[in-house]
Amino acid sequence: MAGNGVDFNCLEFFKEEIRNENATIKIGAVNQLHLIASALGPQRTVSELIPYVVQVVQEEPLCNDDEFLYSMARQYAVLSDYINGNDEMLIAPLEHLAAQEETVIRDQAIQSLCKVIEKRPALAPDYLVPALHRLATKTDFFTARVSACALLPLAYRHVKEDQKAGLRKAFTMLCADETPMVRRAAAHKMRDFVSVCAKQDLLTDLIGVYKQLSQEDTQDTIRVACVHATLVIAKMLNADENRQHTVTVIKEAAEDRSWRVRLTVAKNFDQLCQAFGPELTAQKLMQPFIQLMKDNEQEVRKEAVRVIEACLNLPEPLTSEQLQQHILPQFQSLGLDSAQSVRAALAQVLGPVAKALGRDVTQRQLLSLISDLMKDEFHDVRLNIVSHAGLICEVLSVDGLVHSLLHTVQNLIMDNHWRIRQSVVEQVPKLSRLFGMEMFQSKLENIFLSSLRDSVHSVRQAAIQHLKDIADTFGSQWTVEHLLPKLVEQYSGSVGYANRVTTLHVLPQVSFVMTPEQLVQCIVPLLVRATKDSVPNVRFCACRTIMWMMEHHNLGAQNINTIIKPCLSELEHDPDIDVQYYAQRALLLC
Amino acid sequence: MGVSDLDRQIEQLRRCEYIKEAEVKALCSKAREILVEECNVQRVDAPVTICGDIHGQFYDLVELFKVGGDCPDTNYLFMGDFVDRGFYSVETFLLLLALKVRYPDRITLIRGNHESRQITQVYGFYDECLRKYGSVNVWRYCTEVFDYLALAALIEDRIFCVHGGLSPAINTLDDVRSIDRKQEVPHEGAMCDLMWSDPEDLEGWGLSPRGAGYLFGGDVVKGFNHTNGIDLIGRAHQLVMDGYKWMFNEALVTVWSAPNYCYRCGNVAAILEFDENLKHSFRIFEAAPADARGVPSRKLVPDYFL
Repeated sequence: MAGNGVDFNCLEFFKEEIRNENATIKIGAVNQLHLIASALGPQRTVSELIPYVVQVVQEEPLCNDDEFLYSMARQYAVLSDYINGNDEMLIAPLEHLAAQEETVIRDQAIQSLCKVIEKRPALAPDYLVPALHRLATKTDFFTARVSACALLPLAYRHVKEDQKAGLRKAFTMLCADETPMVRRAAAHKMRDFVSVCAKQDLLTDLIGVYKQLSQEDTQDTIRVACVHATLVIAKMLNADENRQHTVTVIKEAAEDRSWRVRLTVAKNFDQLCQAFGPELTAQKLMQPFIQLMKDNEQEVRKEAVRVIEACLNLPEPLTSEQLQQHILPQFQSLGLDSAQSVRAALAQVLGPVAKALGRDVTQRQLLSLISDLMKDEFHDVRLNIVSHAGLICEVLSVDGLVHSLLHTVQNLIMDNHWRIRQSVVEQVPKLSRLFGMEMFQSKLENIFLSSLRDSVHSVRQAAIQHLKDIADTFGSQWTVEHLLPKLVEQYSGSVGYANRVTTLHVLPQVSFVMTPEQLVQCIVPLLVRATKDSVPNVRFCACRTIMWMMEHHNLGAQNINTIIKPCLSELEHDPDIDVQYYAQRALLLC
Repeated sequence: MGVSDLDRQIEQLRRCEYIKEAEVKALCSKAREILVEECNVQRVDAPVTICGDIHGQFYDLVELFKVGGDCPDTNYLFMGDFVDRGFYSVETFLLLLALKVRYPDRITLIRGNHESRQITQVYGFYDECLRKYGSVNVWRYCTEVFDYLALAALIEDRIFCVHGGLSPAINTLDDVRSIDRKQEVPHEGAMCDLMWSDPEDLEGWGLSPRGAGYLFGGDVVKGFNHTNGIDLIGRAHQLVMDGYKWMFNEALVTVWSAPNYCYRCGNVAAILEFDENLKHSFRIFEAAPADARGVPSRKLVPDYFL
């Protein structure tokens, strides 16, 4: 730009723009800073632009303009591409912004610092570490120390060996800071920080502050962060070391006076089992876990129950003995829990638990509970049992349960809540595979087909979608000889147009198991009939189904020309404009 | 504006994302072209599903469609009060309007007392437009559409649908047909009454506590239905806890379609389906569950700077 004989001084232009009183222009100029930089070229950017910006950031009035500072914090990282590798000059200005009071500015400055360091890790020892130490020891305002916490894990990864002890020292200092916000920031970074430390350093320098913070008495979020850190620490230590250092922390967390801490243990119990390994889990963790299943807070009990499923999916899952000895004894009282959500969670894990226990134990110890929960007054509980019915029936073999299961399904499918009815309809294909054709026909078919006439559109929609699975399961002959006549009968017998529309949506779903001949013989006549319906909505739905059939099946040119095309041509002149529209689109496919 | 553009906008609005200002402008001008052709008393064929107040409760409107079926497979008649009070008046009205433009014969919109410049400046729609678009242009386009909305609908010559109710200045449907409707809702007179009046257990006419429109009794309804050869008056305008309420020996029904009105009233909502033989059934529904409500879309600028 500048060299072209046009005397345009873009640096001056920029200087004017950021002095503009209009905030939009000012911020716009900052956000376009890379254009100025690319026009000036790397050399002038380094020697003129950046020094200028660094200066205005510290001067009135812009040093108090938070939005300006926020945008600058972001732009420094962008400028990194325009300064020919002189990234070290960005560290100090970003350090300045990372010490600001306003959180969004600091967060952005830290993000930019991380970007620069990720790109040039070699800068960490000589530039980032001194900056970090300065931030960590800034006493005038605590926010700088919070920023230091955020930078520690990244810095530690890229520094020289002889600097590491200093950073560990800084971390322990921040963990003991007198300002709670700083301690909290340090605790939140503990997990990341220990995961980049060597085990020996962890044991000598950090385990002390870890224990100390886990006893922190003012802030429960700090104790929560310690539970998260334990997930990493426990993995690094061997069994003896864990016994010595971490097990107590978890034990105490499971009995913490703040329910948030207990909830964190409950939610992450599967990961804790994995981190501690099967031996310690068996020896030390089961007792605290039982406590959590008996917790006073329902939220904690619920999560403790829910996590059992994850514990059974671990590479080294809880054993059948552990389940029987520690967990099953709690189920009886959990089944009578006053909180619906706890019972619902229990209903959800019974399937996987039954699978882990095997047939005999399930029959002996779980069957009565399963039957009770099927009769629970809260529909979510019943629904959860039904949705895992497949698994339970596999374990028990169908006969033991089928009667009560069917009874539950039959009740739920008539529930007043349409979402419950919808969920049950979604379970029917799974159940029908399990029960087989005969049982389906005698027990489930009628209630399933009646949900095609449900008063709520979404329930009908679910039935339509799941009819395909059922047709797939029982095959083409059953679909054509048994199911289709019933659908046709439903179409003819229906009073409201909505049911005829539903049938038109069902036909594509069952068409996949049919041959072209069967389609022409059984389905096309129904479609033709629908094109002559008195209700326009039925007529244009028929057009859409015809379109769909022609796109997905080969109905044969002869049939299309003699049967379908004449119907559509007639509808092209229908009084209803939407019928015309869909008829015309269908005709394009003929 | 082609069908594919419109279909895209409808998809976008169904996700509760608002469309560009320029798109709103085009949509509203197309809508005016369609609405100007409609009568004050728009004729509607059965089957049709009639709905009461929505009041910007977008996710509950989505719930309504889940229960009643989607447009165009189901035909709808909305009896006004699409905007104000709820959080999503913009998305609600624009979705209904986009459906109207895409399927003019499948959906009918009539005017409620909140489809007015004055009322929307007090009850939220104006502020929402300003907040979401940064200018009042969208509000202006929408309120210009309001002036073209039909005042009432007549289903198969048997069921008269109106937002509020009757007016002492109106005896016959032709009286409604002769109103010049293309104006802001006036403070009094026939047009105002149609949008503001309420039925009440009394004889004849009474003063309305709302300060506009009238209270009208069972005898007035009986007379009106007899004179005009209709069976039923369908209307909205009043919160009813069960979603619908019959009055005057099933000569009038109130339908309310905003569940848990203002997110705190605890009522259920209803829509009223008439099949092709005018056989009716109510569908009751509750507010959309929390996990079906999206988080309002936000720009990525931190809160601090707004």
